[in-house]
Amino acid sequence: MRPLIPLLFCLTACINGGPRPTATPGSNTATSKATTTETYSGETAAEAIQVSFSEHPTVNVYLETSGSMNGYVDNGRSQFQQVVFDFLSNIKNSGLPSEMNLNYITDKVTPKESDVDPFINSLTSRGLLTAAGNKATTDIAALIADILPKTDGSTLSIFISDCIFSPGSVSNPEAYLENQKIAIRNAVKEYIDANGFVGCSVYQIYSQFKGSYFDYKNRRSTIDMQRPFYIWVFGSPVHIATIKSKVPDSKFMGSPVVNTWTIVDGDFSEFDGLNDYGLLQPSPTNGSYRWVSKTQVSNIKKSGEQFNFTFGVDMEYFLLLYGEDYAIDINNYKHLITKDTGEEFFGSFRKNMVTASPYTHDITVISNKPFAKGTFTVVFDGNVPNWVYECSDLDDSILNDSNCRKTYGFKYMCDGIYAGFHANNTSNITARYDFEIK
Amino acid sequence: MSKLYVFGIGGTGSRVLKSLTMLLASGVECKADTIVPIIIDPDDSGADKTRTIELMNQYMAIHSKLEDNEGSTNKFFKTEIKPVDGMTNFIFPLKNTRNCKFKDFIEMSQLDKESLALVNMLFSEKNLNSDMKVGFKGNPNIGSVVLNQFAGSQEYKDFANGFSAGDRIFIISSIFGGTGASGFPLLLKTIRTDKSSQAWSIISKARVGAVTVLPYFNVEEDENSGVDSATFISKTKSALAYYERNISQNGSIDALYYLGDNVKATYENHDGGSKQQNKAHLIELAAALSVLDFAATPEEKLAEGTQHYEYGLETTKDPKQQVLFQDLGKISRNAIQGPLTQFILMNKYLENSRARQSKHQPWAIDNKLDKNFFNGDFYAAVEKVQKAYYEWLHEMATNERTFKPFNEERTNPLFDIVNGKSASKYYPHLFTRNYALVDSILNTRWPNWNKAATREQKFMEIFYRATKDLVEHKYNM
Amino acid sequence: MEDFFSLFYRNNLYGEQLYYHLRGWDDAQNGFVAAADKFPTIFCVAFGTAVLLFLAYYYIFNHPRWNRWYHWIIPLLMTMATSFILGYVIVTTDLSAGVIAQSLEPYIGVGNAIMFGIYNAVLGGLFFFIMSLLLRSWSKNCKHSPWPLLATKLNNKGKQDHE
Repeated sequence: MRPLIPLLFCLTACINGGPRPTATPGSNTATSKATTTETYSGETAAEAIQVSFSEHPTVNVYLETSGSMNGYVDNGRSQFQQVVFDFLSNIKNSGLPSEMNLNYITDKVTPKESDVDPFINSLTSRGLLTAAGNKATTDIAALIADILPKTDGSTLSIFISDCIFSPGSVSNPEAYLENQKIAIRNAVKEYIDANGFVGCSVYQIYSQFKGSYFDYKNRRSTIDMQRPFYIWVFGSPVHIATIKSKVPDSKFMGSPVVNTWTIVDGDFSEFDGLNDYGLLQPSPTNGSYRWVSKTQVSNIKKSGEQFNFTFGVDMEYFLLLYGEDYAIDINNYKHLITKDTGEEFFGSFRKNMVTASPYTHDITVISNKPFAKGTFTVVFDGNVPNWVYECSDLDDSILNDSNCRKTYGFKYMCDGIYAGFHANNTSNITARYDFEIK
Repeated sequence: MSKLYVFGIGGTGSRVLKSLTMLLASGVECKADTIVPIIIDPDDSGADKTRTIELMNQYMAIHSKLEDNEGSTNKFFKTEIKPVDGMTNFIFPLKNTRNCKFKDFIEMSQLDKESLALVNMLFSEKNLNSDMKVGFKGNPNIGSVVLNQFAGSQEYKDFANGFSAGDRIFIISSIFGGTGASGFPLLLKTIRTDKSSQAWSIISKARVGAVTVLPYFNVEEDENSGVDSATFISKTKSALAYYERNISQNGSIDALYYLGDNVKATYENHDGGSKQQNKAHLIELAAALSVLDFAATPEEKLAEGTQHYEYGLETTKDPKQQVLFQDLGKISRNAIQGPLTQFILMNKYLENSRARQSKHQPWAIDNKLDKNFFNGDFYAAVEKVQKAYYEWLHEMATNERTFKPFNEERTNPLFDIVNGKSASKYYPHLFTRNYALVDSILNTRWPNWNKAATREQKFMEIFYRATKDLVEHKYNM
Repeated sequence: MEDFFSLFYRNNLYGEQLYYHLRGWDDAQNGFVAAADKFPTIFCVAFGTAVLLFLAYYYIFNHPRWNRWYHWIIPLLMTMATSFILGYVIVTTDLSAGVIAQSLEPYIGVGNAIMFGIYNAVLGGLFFFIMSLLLRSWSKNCKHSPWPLLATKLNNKGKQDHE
């Protein structure tokens, strides 16, 4: 296991000097590769934005305390409490935060104890009722818009919520959801523009919910069932990765992590050592071609029915950040045609079985027709994962088997965040693999 | 272009001419550019004469193909041998000796009583009834009458017409025979006194040499034969007395060579014809050397007066033993050992190795010496000469006194060929010995090579250079 | 410089993966390591053997009794045998020592070793053959081995036959 985290800290420390993309909309990462030296000093040619970054950020925890959250804290220790307690304690104990601030959030932020234990213990319904602000409805976009500006490289924000939109009595709930999505998008875009290197990560966890459930029309019902809640982490991808490293999914106590999604802004390819890739030697499994160099391939011939070539990628960081399933989901990869347009990428993943290899996975590029000479670029531009759509509901008036595990309108939240990273239809390339086909 | 006219009289003359031809074929140095042999022998079918003529014809054919090769170092067949213009087969024909008895030749029946009485006194009954077609069978008294026909003959005129200033004449004869003993003085008298030709003044003053061969063999006793070797010595004595008075002392000859041997072989008694085929003898070779010596004698020396020569071996060996090169005097040895050895090496190679090797050795391929060439007339002539050469050596080697400079009958190892002299080590090339060494040297890229030479010229040139190289390094000759 | 030597071996006749191995494929580097490139050695030995045997036959031994075509076959076969053994042994040694990269190993076996040996033998033989064609004309005794020089043939064609 390579010392990934120190590596990341080193490089991010250098981002201070000048990082990433400019503020102009539609622009992507600098197309020229960073002129990096051996020891990961990321000096790019792009304009320098002063970005604050701290190895030990301040961690602000925002626990949503609208009425719909009560059901999670039904006296005693619920699963919800256990998970949150465990998660926050682990973060605190990891040494990452310089300080940890625990807050309730509705339309206002109510600071609470800085100690996790009492913070959790006070999570009774009564405790929640003492949270200031409007607890009746949840304006998720407003929450996001509230939290994100407070987040940067030195401040990590953790948002815990059931993420249920409350259109309430609007005539057109879908229009409401759309607006929410747009508002979230704008908030995220501002968040990205203000900071150089940011990310959003979400955990979906289930907990027993016993209590009042308010549907999308704010109608109340009493339920006692497993219901999903979400822990969002906003901040520098380095910190997100640190958390994922120090508090892996497997360590979650109380209730397991069911799904995750992470989206970050920034091309890891610009940093040496983070996204090593290289063409592999030809073989019956890799394809029939000629290895010219790590990034040059020639004479691609038919291997079976198709034309293939295979390259290896060190996905250690990706796996950490995105989780294996998302990282090796072929749908998250695109074949880049121009700077911003791509087409579907045909390929397949497999684990790299060679012990000495610097790569963790092999990606085989597949084509039915011969490859055209010139550059061929595969990029990682993650989509909103399927589970988001599967867990998104448009009618939660009745919770039964088909939708008891869904969250009303959840996809709008994720779509909004996604749109923020893809403002004006630009791509959000996190990794690129360039090849020259001769 | 100096010429040397060589008259070979009788059987001995033919045999000496053969030895001379062999020496010239092997490349022995001759100061004269051209040898013009003239054979005087009434014995039409004399085997010695036939063999010699055949050999000289082959020599001529070969020589004609080798002429005009610029830059050539080849000495094989270098000296030209050609007949007098108009003379067939080198023969000076003697008229009226065929199917003719002596008494008819002198037209005895026409003689008056006094002449008849004189004739009966001078000639025996046997003499008078001799059939002359095979010569004078050891009776110079007959020969001297018959050979008087030289002067005035067309052939003499032809000879005289071709004679230029500076040319020389040499006469070969045996003193004990019939034709030679009588012919030599007569021929000499004719040369010196005949005024019938245009060139008579040049001829009469020309330098003339002669070798007279004393008895060196006996014939077996045979009553029916007209030849009796017991009379050889007595005839020699009388002839020598005559020569002293009429040849040496009157200055009509410029150089006289005497050759003889007291070791005598005994030949079969044939009084002529195709059976008179005597084996080659060392004396004949020595006589041939005298021809070359005369050709090389400078004018000043001859101007001093008649030179008389004898020949001796330089050895303390028992005469019954073989004579080798080292037993010869230094001058003879140096003159002939190299060329003869070269020629025998060529002989051995052509006989034992050429057939297989010429198909794929560079010396043959590069010079287009292909099947065509080796089946052609030129090569056939060369083979004939080589065969005759081998026979000549073999005869001398089995004669008495034995001259066996080579182990000519052996084929392997090649360089043991020189008798009494072992070959030095010569390895110009790794692992090549024997015939392979010859090939290796034949394959040499020679300097100063005439690329435009004909195949025949190239062939001879290659073999000359190669054998010379070998002879120098192997035998230091 | 490495590219020059590997050019002679750049084909798929004996196994693509074996080519990569001999060129010095290293999994950890995911590329060729120059120090592990065996082609310079293999080439030099094959070529060197061909040169030596060529020189030995045509210029050192250069024997007039060894200038038939079937004599020429001997150094040719010796070159090919040496090249074969070299190629075969190199590969089988690597196989048994287990030094072949893990990604290539499943695709390389004794069959590949034999094919490579054969290929190398053919290559060595080809070097010898080409040198024989081009550089033999200065050989005194063997210049027409295994067949007469073209120059001589053409030269002789133009000559007139003398009768």
